[in-house]
Amino acid sequence: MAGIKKTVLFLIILQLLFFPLETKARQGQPPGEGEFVVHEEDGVLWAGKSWSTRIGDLRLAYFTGSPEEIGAQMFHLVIAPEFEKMMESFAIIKEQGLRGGFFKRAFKSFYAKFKFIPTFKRLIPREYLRELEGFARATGDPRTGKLVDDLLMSNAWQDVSLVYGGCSFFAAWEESTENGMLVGRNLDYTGLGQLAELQSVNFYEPENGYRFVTVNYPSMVGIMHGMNEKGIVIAKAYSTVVPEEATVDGVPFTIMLRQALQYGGSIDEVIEIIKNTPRTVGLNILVADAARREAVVLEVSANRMTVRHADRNSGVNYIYGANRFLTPYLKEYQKTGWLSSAFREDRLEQLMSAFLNDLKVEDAVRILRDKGAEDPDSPVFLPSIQNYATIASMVFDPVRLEIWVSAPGGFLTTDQVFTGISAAEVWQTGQPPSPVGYIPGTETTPMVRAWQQVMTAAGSSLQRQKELLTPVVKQYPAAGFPLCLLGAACLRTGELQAGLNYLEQCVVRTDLPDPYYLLVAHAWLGVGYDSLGHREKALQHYQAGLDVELLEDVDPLFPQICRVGLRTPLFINEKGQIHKAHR
Amino acid sequence: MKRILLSPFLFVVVTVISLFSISIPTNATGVAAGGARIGEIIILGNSRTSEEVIQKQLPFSVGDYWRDEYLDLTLTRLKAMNCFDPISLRVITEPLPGGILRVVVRASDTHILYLDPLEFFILNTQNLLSNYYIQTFYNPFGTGLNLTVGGGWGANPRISLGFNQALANGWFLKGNVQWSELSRQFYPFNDPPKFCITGFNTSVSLLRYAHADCEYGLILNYGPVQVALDGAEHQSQAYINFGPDFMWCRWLEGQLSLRYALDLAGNFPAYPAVSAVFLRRQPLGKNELLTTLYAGQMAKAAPLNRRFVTGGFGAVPLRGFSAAFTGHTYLNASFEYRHTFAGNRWLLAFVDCGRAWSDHEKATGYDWEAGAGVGLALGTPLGYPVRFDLAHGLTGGGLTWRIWMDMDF
Repeated sequence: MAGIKKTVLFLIILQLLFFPLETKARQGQPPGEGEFVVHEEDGVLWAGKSWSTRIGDLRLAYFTGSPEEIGAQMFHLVIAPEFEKMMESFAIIKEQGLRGGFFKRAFKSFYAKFKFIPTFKRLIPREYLRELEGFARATGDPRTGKLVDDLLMSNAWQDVSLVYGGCSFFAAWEESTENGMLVGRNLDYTGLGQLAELQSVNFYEPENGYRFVTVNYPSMVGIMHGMNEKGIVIAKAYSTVVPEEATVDGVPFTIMLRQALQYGGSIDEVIEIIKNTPRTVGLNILVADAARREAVVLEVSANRMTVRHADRNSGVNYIYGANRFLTPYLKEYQKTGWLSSAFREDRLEQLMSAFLNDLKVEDAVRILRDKGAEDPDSPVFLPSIQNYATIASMVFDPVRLEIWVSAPGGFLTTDQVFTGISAAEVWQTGQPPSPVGYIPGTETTPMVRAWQQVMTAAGSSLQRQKELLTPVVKQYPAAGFPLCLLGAACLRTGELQAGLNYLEQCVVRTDLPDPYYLLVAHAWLGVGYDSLGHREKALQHYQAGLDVELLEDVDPLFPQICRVGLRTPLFINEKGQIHKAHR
Repeated sequence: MKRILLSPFLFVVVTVISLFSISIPTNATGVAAGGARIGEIIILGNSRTSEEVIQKQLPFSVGDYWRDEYLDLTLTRLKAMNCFDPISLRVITEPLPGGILRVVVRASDTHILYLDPLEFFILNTQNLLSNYYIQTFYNPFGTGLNLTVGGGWGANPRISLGFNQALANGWFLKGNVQWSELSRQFYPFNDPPKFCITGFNTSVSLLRYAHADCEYGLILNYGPVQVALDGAEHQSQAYINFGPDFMWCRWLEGQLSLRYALDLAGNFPAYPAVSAVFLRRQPLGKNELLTTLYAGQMAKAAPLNRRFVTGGFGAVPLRGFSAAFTGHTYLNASFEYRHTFAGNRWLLAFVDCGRAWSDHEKATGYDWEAGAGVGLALGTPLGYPVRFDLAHGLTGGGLTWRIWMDMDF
């Protein structure tokens, strides 16, 4: 009897543990027959007062009404017209949040269902849950509750998975600009590349709060950047924090930023909202206020927050940020990691200074398109403010209430055409806008093409890297970054001698403005020479790697390779992984 | 040989040396911001609990000068409320312009049914396998009131209701009422001392967390039951039991309980009782040695069903045995070594040793007993580990095991 009882209990337990595992969603189901009647008129999809359209490759949408209505409008006007494509992208986000083997996935699903989702539902303002419910009901899927949960996790996956991408932003105001204030922003994250091509410029006129505009992705209720009708611009960049300063037990940061943009009418109001939100991760949050002609950067962790102002003493009217904290207070809680922040900040400082006094949208776009070098005679082809992970670029003019967005989104988007749209016009008329202007795409000179090829290679497989980089290094033998990438790719695919040649060339003959890549090259050289049995040369390179003076604290990986290499010979195995050599 | 090793002399020497060996107490990590005035208090994460309920437990308010001891005291009180996620509880201070401080109190309400799903799952599975279930409703009204409902079935049915109400300034009121039909027997199992009781047990206690490392309170307990001792006829018993509790957590952690019990039915004698626990944690590099001493004494006049119970994985542990030693006096010691591995894993080894003294005619043969075992603790995402223990009685008993979770595993 006791045995039967224990067996039954065991089965119940197993069921409890594994039933949250992902079941196949009924994708591809036709949209529900809600009260929304969607019709097309001159290339514009209308659903009541809301609409979606395109200007060239740029998707635009306008949502208005109650939270439920806005959620439903997002589904009918943005998702439904490209349902299969959108659901694929949605699946990408879910997949990123649920990576791992069976047990890891089971555990994550269990925690998502019983911990994260209930927590988010407790803390997220009700109106955003209502928006998700509106979206879910509009799909026609009878399992509305489950879909809301899925959508919630897709809005919070960056908080749950602690994925850290790079980002850059800047703001300039008053006499530094032609028009009073400009904000530029690049969103960098390779993991969102596929999704980014589905970006849409969404204008909101909610029941409560201010009207706002954001560049966003399917099913996202939260935002990562945007501008409201009061001339407040918000943009975020991750900043990695030590584990005790990050938690999932809070409001997903995208939803926090949405609330701040929707209800923050001034810098102070935005600060109040963010200060009083239980936060999750480390962020740099740019808040620009057209009325006050000032921008600040809020440096925040889950528990701490401080406000960084422009250096008023030196009279500068600009501020910028990348992916690290700059105030001494928050620096104490920074987790060591390298995202080339120091180099990008350096570039922003140089470029801002160069363009000051008359910064125009065109200049802001040039800054966003920065490729790391001024001198056309000695290209370095480095990832810079624009880099291989940049998937969205935009400039906000909060004085005129204009937004300039590169289309169509996705990799190398910053070099595409920027389309200017008057948000003020959309909010006033409720009609699809005509563009206020265009900024042409980057002129595709051979050097630009080579740079783009290098950036494409940086996000590709090793074999593809070799195919893309070989012609570039032949044409530009003094460009350091492609040599470094190609050398490592050759080493990891078994072409040891070729790899060593490229890397030697990189450390001897090239200029690398970010010395991090010099460290990387020396570390790979050490491993390469060790693999060939040339211990003395390997030791020299490990030591040289450790001697490189870096601009910032870096990811411990490459310094660690050098340190371990000094103690023990290392080698690259057939999978391209570094191992200690067997004695 | 085992008996020689377990001689009282050796036991006392080892325990005393371990408890009182000199080491420097570790200071709590605090926020070095003492002396600055508090300009702002922000309370975050409370979606159900009203802000006033939390504020009432804070030992400071706006305008006060911050003192470093506030940090641990606030955390202690908020943890005692037992309705916030223990992992994300934080009290931090931030410098503001003008030399003032902002104090951020992060107290996240949890699910109404559990603090953590994995903990809930593991503990309740074990409870269900032991024929009982307890459900706490964490702060359902947002007023700092936790409610508990429990029940047992099988040989010892019972049903209980309880509450824990956070008051103000570190004061807490707790209460419990339980009806049970309990049959219990003790070592030696071949001719055991035993009793059966049917009836209620109610208790009310008022506790205060006055300092981060000090807690005191008063408990009042009333138990009107019908009791049958060693197979005799049922008799009415209505003990009222009261006395103070003291707890402290300095370099030597301790707990002291004093009780006086009086049978209002007049069938059983009154008796006083005292019990104490002393715990010493000694860091050994990354590892840790815990030495715990348990002791208690009550008047011999106390009836069997009111006497101390020791053994098993209980409050006075003797792992490798059942929780079935009874007595008017007991003395136990536990030594536990926790070896830390990378990745939040611990290998544990423990030895328990002790005895109970009883003048019960069937339990006079008690002697010093010992049990030992090993355990494995694995870190979980909720911040504290799940622990599996396997123990064996060295002087009898048998093989026993337990899976459990605790912040201080």
